[in-house]
Amino acid sequence: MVRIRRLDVRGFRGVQQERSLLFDGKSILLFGENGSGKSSFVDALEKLFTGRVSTLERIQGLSSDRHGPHIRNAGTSPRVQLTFSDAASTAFASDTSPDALPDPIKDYVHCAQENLYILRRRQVLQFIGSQPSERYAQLRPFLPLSGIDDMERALRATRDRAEAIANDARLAFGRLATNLRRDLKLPPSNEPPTEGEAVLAVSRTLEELKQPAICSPEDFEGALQNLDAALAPFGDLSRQSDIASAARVLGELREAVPINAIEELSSALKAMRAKEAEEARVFYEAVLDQGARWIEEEGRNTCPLCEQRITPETTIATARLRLVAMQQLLELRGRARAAHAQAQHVFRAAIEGIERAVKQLAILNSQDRGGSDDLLSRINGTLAEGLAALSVELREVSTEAIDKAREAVGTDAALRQDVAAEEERLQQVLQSLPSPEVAKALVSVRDTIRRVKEAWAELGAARGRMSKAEADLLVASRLQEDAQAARKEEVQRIFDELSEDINTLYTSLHPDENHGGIRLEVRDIGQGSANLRSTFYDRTDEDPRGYYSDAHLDTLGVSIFLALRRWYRRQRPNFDLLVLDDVLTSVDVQHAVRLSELLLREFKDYQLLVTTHDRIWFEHLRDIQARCRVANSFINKIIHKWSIDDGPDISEPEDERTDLERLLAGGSAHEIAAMAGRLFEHLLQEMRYSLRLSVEAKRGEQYEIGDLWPALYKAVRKNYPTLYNAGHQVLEALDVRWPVRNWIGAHWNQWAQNIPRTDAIEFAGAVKELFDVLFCSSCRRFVSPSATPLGQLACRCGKKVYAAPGKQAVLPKTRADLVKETQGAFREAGLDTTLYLAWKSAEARGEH
Amino acid sequence: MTIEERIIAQFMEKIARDKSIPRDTLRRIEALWKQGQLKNADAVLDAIRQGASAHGENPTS
Repeated sequence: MVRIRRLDVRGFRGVQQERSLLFDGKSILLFGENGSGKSSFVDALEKLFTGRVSTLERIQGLSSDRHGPHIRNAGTSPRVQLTFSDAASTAFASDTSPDALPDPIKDYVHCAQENLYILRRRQVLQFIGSQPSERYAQLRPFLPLSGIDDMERALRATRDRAEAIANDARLAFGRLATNLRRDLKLPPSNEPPTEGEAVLAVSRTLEELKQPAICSPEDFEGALQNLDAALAPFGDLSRQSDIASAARVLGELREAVPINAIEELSSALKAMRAKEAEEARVFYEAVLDQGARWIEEEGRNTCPLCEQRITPETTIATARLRLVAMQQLLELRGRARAAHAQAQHVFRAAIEGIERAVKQLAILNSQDRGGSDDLLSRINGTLAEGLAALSVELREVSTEAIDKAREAVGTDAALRQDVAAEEERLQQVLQSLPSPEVAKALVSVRDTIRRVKEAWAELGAARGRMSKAEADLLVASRLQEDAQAARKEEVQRIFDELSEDINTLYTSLHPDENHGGIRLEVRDIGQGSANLRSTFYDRTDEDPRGYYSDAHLDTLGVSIFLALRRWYRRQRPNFDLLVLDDVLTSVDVQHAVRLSELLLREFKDYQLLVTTHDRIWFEHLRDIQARCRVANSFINKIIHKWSIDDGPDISEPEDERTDLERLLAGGSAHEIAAMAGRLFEHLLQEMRYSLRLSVEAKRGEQYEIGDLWPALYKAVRKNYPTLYNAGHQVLEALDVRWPVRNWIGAHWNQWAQNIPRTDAIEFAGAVKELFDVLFCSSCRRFVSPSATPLGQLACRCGKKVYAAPGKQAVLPKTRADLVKETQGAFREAGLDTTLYLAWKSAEARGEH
Repeated sequence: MTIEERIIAQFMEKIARDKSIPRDTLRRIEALWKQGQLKNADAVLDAIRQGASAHGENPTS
């Protein structure tokens, strides 16, 4: 079995100088106050295996890369290395490629990368508090189903595509049905017409044209043949259309002859010319108008231009008359100009009409055309001549031109009769031909029946394609549903297995309580979701959050994690790491004892790293280790203190004593005092917990020798005379010498440089001696108050005992032993809490 | 047997029992499974469409 031998961390999170957790293949119980760096080791493990610290990644603005390194670790990379317990002591660091590792360790690292072995205090309720889909996502790492995911994805894509094909087929069929109904003049509907409807509609149309009805769609072809036969006498139906068009164009030409225009031009031109002759003098409107106003306004009797004498009234009247005549001339010129433009326009339009008629008549055969060509040619010639005569400036339009145009009009007027006769001839030809309307109706029905016949045949094929596509869709849907059901059933089977284990764990934490029945369920809807149900008294199938207390939810959270971890272990038996980071203290006191026992009993074949910030629980777990017979597979470590420049101090007091021995042989005064001070502080911290020393509270609980020593000295002298007697010399010596540590061991003092080495040695010797008085090298525990008799101090194994005053030393008993031994007596005596307290008080007073 | 193998086996059992899946399609899906092609949507759709000729048949035959 691959296990961790040691974990070395440097420059990561709260660990600056290199620190090592020496597992030696065993489990570790690690105590440290809050902020002492315990979790740094847990984070280091996770970072090493997964490259990230999940608790940092979950918070916006935090990241493993930025917040992982120690804050004073500028420039150097953090170092985390794991050494395994295999024969080769294989090392794995963040820069080690897993491929380079031996197979068992590679497998171990692979499992660890899935990160399913760490439970932190803040994560205990995470699973319970999640939504079903998130909960399922959290379970997914436990369910290696990537192959199934791929298959389900493919089946889903298949179903989607089959659905798209079926939709296309339905739309095509619908379009066909709609068109068919429209052709058959049936009311709109999404359904295609029935055979009866189609036959009836076609028959009705045929009968309107006096064509035989049909009996079935097979008769479509026969109906088409009948229609072809009926259309045969019409021959080429375009002849009627062409003759009709030619007659229409000739009619337009007849109406386009410009008689009125030339008459208007002639009249306007004559009037203009007559006025021009009448007013043959040159005059200027401005001169007349301004001159008349001067004469009138200034009362002049001389001409303003030549200064000759005038009769003002006569001159003004003459000027006004001339202005009126001029206005009339201008109006006549405007009329003549408009008539000139209009005459040109109508001549051009008539010529264009002739061009159209020529073009249209050219389509007709020569028989139908008759004498049209000559007629049109003649009209075109006279109109062109007239237009040419008019196409000059107005002032240049001569009488000859007008006569020529009039002649053309006159000729045209004569020709109009010829055009009308030609039009009439064409109409007669048209009348002699079969009715184009009847032909048109026949052709239209024939086209419709052709379309209906084709659509009817296509309808069957489209229906077949649609049916097939729908059948394919059904199969694709069934495949997807069957795959989903298979997965859900298997996942539910796993969930059932998990639920059973969760219940086992939870019930062992809450025996005789009327709740439990924890059940993980795959929800029926959705791709993946997990419901968490439970029983609470007579309520079943309830969300535990609805009824459970926070304490019960805590233990449920832990139970779920442990059940998952155990399930994963069954899949990967060689991976046995389990890390519980300060989890015990999230559980209430009543259940934490059971949880501790459960952990050490049920998970004794795991390599555990359990951290706690609660010293009482640390001691309690140490006791339980012995009771569960796993003490030998545990290493109990204490983080004495933490500093930003070093990190957690996890040295063992025995190691410090050994180091002190070595320094006493050859170390400097400073080195000896420093190491002695460290051991002194270490044992004072231990005694602070075991003797419950009364120390004045300090912020951050960072107590130093100056805080702890007076409390210990006072407590020993007052409460533990036997211990005082055994160690009074060293106690008194230290009461004098303890400042030496600060003078030369902890701080730089100029005056302290002259303190002799012998003083440091005496201080160190006293510390060493006190350590030996308080620490048992057999059970590796400091002495602590025995449960009974009151006032006795003893180590765990009982080899070091300081009896209570006036009493014989007795082997220490645990609380559990006492309860077991006295339970019956208490019950018979009918003791209650009041009597118990009275009894303990009497014991303290030395009474019996 | 891994979890995935168990799920696939259950899936094949289900479709074998499913009367709405033509036998010919079933055979083609089984062949795809053996070829590791059940992750290929094109191949699955082809199997369904080719097996669709069996739609006209009695699917249980």
